Amino acid sequence: MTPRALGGRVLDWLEQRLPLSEWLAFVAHLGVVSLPLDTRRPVRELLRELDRTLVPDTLRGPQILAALAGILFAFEAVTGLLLAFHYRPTPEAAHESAMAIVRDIPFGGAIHQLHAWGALALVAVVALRLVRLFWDGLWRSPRELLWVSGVALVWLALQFDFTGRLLPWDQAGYWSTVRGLEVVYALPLVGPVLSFLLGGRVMGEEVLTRFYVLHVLVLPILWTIALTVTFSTLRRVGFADSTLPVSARRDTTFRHHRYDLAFVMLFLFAVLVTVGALAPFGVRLPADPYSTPVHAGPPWYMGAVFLVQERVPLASWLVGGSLLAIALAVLTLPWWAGRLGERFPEQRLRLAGLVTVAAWLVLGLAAAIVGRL
Amino acid sequence: MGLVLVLMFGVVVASVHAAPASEERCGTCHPAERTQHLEGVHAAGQVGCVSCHGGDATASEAAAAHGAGFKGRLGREAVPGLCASCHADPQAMRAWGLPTDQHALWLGSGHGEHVRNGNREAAVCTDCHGVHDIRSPRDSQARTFVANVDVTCGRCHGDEKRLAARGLANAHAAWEGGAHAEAFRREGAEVGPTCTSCHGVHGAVAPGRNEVDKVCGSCHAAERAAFRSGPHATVFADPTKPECSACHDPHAVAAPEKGASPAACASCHAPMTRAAILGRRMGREYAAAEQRLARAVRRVEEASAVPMRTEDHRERLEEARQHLEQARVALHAVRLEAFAEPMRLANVVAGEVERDLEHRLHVNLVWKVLLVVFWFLVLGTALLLRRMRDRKSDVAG
Repeated sequence: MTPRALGGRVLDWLEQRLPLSEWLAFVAHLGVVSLPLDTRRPVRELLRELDRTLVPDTLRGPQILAALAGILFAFEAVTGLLLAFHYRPTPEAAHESAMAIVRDIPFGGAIHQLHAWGALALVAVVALRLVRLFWDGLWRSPRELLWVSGVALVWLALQFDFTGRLLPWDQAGYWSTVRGLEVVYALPLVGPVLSFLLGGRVMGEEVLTRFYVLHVLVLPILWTIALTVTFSTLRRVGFADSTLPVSARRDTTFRHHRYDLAFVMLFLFAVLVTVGALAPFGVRLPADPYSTPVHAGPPWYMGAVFLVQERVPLASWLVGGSLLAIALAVLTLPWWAGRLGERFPEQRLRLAGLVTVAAWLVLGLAAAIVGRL
Repeated sequence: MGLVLVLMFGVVVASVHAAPASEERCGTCHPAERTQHLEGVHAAGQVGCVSCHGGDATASEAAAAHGAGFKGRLGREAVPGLCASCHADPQAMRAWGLPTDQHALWLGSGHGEHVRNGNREAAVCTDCHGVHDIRSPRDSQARTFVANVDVTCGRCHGDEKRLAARGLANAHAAWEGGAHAEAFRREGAEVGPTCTSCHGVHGAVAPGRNEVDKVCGSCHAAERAAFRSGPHATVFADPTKPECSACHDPHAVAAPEKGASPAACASCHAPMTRAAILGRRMGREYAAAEQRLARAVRRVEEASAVPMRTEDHRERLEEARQHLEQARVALHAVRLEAFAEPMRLANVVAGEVERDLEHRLHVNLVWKVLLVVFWFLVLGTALLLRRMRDRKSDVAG
């Protein structure tokens, strides 16, 4: 019996006992394929037919970013789970267990590097995707939810980063969290709410426990919801090129798509292994709440906000309020930018976006340089 | 009603002003002295103005206060006797649990001797303890608190003008730049040697020439024992020779320069004599071992940054440090046979640590080279995937 035939028999056996077609439809619904499937038919038939069906090629061009966000998340979930087997989230044990992971446990160091570099890649991917959505006007009706979930993905990726960097309880992570929390506490509305949720403005056991729960439970759930909204929106309103004539679309068979997905995963894994081996993230000295390192700045993505809060000579509620207003404007872009009309053409909106991103980057860089001085 | 309120307010104000005043009224005219006195330990011990100055503290007129038995401002020469009138009296001091030998010790000290010889600048009690604001030496603000002692002594012994007038070297500056002051700053005043650690407190005196090894030896016992077992001990038995301070500056207390030509040996031994050659050899070997240990320490830091387990290596380093320490102590005996063995062990252990970690770091580097192999595997898998994807038969079936 060939392996293929054996696989078929196993599928048949399972089919009689489980609603495999419905499962397939559910998974497909989450974004693997964006076609309606007839769940009344047996799964082997569905798969065979699906393999021959033309599907939008979501792994070519900028559309790959959404797929990468999903793949990288799965990647982070797997490596994160492996790390969680050995990690102990208390201030006394956190650093020792993190050191044990990267030093003593076979391949623990490699898994930690993959997790850390994968996280950085995830932030880059969702940020680039947001830029692409903005630039190509993919926030216009009926894609408002695509934009909102895109913003949510960026925000969640940064929250993953922010909660994750505290977990090794090393000096660098600890103090960048302290500075980062100071940045958030200085904001009106958000600051008091966060300090209430974390149980005060003092770093300690509570913050570590809460960050751990956020990192491994709450944020993954929210991320899954945001990603489902993204893929479901695409399923309902179609891809960016769905308005093009069929001949101009980039379609591919599902079979082809499956292999392409494997390609992307393989190369992603290889790239992460390489950067992890050549430029490893370190777990160094344990956190010492009584000695502040000389250059203790917030995480890089908070540098711009940190600089504005520190150097702009205005009342802190005014500065913080303006920053929150900008964040709110970004989130609600589809509802106000669509109404600007003739006086504010698309080109000018793109320019405004470009200026905002450039200002954020320059300020962040300036904050890094000021911190070094 | 209003009147009642005014009256009540008046009563309150009056009662505040009628709060019991100090029994001593001297402070009415001498407020600064009173303030200082209240901060000091004498105020707490119920030693008041009249205890030293005489007169009547309850009088409200200056003439009456400065009347019978008033001693007024006391001269420097009167100070030791006045303080001793209580502090050398066992009856008076018993309740406070204080010693009574300070005055006697002071009389025998360098300070006391100079005062007896008519030197008006030499220190009396008040120069170190203060005048009105005498604090307990356990009070961290006291001039005599252990962490403040060097500043207190340095007021005279670090004052260039005074020292130049007497042709003395600046002992405080020498101490401040030396190994003892470094330990004082690093380990804290309780551990690090300050002026009184070597010179004593009330009996402060420069140690006699043949006392030096005992003074130093009270902390550096091992070095002293080595020194006494070596050939130098017989030479320095001559009471005119300065023992430890022949090689170590008495206040800077730096370790003598090691390496090719130790100046410490050259100050007595002519070059190319057997002793000078021995000194040079031991100095050179010791410096080389120190460098080797430093290299091993650097390797351990490198390895733990990878990170690798380095607990065992750190323990071995500690072992090497102990051997080196033994060798350093043996240097004081200037005997090659006592020095050679710990020296050899220090080198062997530090060398082992260095070589082992170099090997491990090298292996770590090999892992990076394996990346090339890994990429070949990745590309092979990719090719395989492409072939599977493009197989026409499956598409048809």
